[in-house]
Amino acid sequence: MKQRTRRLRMLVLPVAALVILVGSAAAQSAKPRVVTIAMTNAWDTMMPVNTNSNYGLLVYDQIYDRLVVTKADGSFAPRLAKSWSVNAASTAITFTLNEKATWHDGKPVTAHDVVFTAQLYSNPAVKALARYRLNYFAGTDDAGAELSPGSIAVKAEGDYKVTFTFKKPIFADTVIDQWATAFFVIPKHIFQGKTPAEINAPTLWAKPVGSGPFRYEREITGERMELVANKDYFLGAPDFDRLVIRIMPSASLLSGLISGEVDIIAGGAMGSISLDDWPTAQKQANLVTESIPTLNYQTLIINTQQPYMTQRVRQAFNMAINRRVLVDALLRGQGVALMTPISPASPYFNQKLKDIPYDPVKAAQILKEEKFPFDKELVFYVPSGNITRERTAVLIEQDFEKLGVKVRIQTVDFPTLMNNMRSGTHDFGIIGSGGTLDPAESREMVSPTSTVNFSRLTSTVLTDIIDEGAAKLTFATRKPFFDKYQEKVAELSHMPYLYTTNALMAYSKRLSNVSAVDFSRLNWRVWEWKVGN
Amino acid sequence: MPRSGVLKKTNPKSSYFADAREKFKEHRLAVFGLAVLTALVVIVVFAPMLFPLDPYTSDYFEFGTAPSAKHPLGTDAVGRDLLARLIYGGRTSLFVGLTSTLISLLIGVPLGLTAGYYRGWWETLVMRLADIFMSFPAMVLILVLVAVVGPSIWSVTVVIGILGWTQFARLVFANVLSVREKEYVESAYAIGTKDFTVLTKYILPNSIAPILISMTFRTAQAILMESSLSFLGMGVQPPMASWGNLMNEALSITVLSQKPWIWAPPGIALVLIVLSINFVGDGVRDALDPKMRI
Repeated sequence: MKQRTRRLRMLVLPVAALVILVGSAAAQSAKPRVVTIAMTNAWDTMMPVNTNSNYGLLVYDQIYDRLVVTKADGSFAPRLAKSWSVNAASTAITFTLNEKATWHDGKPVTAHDVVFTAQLYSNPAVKALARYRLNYFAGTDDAGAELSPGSIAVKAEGDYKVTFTFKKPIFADTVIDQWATAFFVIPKHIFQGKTPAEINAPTLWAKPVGSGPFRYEREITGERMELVANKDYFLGAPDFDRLVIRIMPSASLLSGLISGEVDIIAGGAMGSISLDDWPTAQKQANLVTESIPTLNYQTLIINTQQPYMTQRVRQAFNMAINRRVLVDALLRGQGVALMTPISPASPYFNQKLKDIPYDPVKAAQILKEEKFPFDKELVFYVPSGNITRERTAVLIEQDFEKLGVKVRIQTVDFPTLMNNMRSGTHDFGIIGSGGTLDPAESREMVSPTSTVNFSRLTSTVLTDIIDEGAAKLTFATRKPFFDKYQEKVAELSHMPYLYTTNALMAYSKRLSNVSAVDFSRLNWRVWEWKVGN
Repeated sequence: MPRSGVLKKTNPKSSYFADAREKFKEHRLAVFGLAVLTALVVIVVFAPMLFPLDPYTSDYFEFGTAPSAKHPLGTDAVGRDLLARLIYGGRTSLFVGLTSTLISLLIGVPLGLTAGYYRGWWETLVMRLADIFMSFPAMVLILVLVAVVGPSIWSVTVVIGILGWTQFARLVFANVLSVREKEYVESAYAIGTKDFTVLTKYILPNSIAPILISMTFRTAQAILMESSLSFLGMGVQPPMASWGNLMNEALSITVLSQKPWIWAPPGIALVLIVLSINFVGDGVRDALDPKMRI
């Protein structure tokens, strides 16, 4: 009896072990492959055109498709449109759509969807904060709203060709960069027949049907969104099953990457490794790190309407800023000094423009000659939240103190900073911009009628040069105007530009085929990422 | 800790405060706290006068460096000497702690005193106001108020001071309720002494002990609040140093794990000063408590 029991045990135990092994192996192979991407702020809406924030773009980019995407070198790459052409007069652009594109419910994406999307977003009754992007097209007003129902000049030519007509001849690259790269196409068959009130309600957008590489699954507001791979994606199925978009404070990004909680960060202003953490990130065996030049910039604002802030005084302040310390010591070489808003990474950068020399002695002399009120305490507004910018302000304050100028730093949140600078209570301010390849990007900052004209310029000398250049239709004819613009910016010194910083990227070594260099152009191409073990 | 179970003889001719001083001396932690507190105060007040400390100027060749002979506690991310900033940061903490407590005292004591003395609608008004103030989460309210008026050393001090009045008002109010029933107070009424004289000459002196004790704890609380606000970027403004904004650098995992010389000294200083003040407060409480006297 005992022997039989022993035999039975000898038989049962290996079989049980085998079953457990096979079971766990099966469970292993069934485990979904998940990639987690982190960014520092949450999306504010699920309506792709009803936002001015870039954070939503990471979400929309997975669920929907844009016509075109931008690459780091300024060139454009196909997305929903497989090709595009501009007519000889540069008055219209025609996109040819990829015939393989389908909505998540299986229906084909056609030119009629593109027309419907343009019409929907140009309807002023529909909430669309980014409607202004449509203002290039005939049939819209300056805000991009249609002049009459369906008046926006967009026409389907068959199922896969769609033509947009401009108000006037225009450099088409500007339109593609400013509009097509952020134009997420929505399904006509889902939204057709809905009233503006229904469209404006968040419920219609809550469980979106898109055509992108991932399908919406669920979200925890302000914390994460979970998406599942669209295995039928027309540009290729993602190499993994689920994508999780996480919101994390910037200080936690590196620890998340090191622990494996996060696989990759969104890059650029949406989530990069801090300068303090960069050496640590580079030492991590499980991470790939890349320092990527960008078009962003930080600039000092000078209130030109203060009676003592004459052009010579502004030039003196401009030459008193020790940009070498800012770039070499503060940024540890992960950036480039700037004299204008156009970064050396831009094709419009003026190579002939000389650097503004650091000369505190001459600067102090100019201030004396201009009878600068040294006894006055100048107010310097600094927005909170960007530690590098806050440290920059401290160094600039020291540079100005060396001239004998008293400066009081006031750290405030960004909306307060904007309000205070709009009301002109400042002497100095410091702000940043993500920059774009459009050399006219800084126009809003120098236009006397703009709400972000923080240096309070009253002259149109800069906007005149920009507008003249922007009206030209080729790069070669535009470049001389933007060269002149950069020279004038340095001369006026209303906004001494400081530096551009590299985007400090890091991602897990389990990922490959990641083109992190394009992230700051809001182009992630997640479906191309390969996932190892 | 005080050996409250041991009965000790006291000199019948000695004064109340002489007895209290003797009692305080027996409280070892309180004496230790007082010694540490005195040392810290002497350092932060007198060191800048004796040594050439510059907490504001960057050393362009020493950004974020480790401790060295030139910079004994290293430098911060913009090359400023951390020892100098630690000492000047201590001045900020002490200034905010003491000044805001004084503000709380100046508001809370008269309100508590008059509410307990006059009672009636004034008591209801003052005490319900105190309840309303205390029902808000203090830190959140301070953050909002500082954001509205703009962060600065003065705004932080005044806001912390104003929000601390309830502690003193309730304490004094409770004390007045018992003192006003004493025979000597009733005698003062009987001979026609004016209210102001009764309040200041007979009632207030009998509330001094709990006020003193409360002041020490409130000072420690205010120092912690200022440090928390500065840590969150809503406290004193750059380039001014504060122990809170010195510790703000530890938000980076690199600084936290590899550069303890940046955040440990202000952290230790903060713990030491708060503990010392609390120990002194304990000692004062035990020394002035008549129930612990024989």
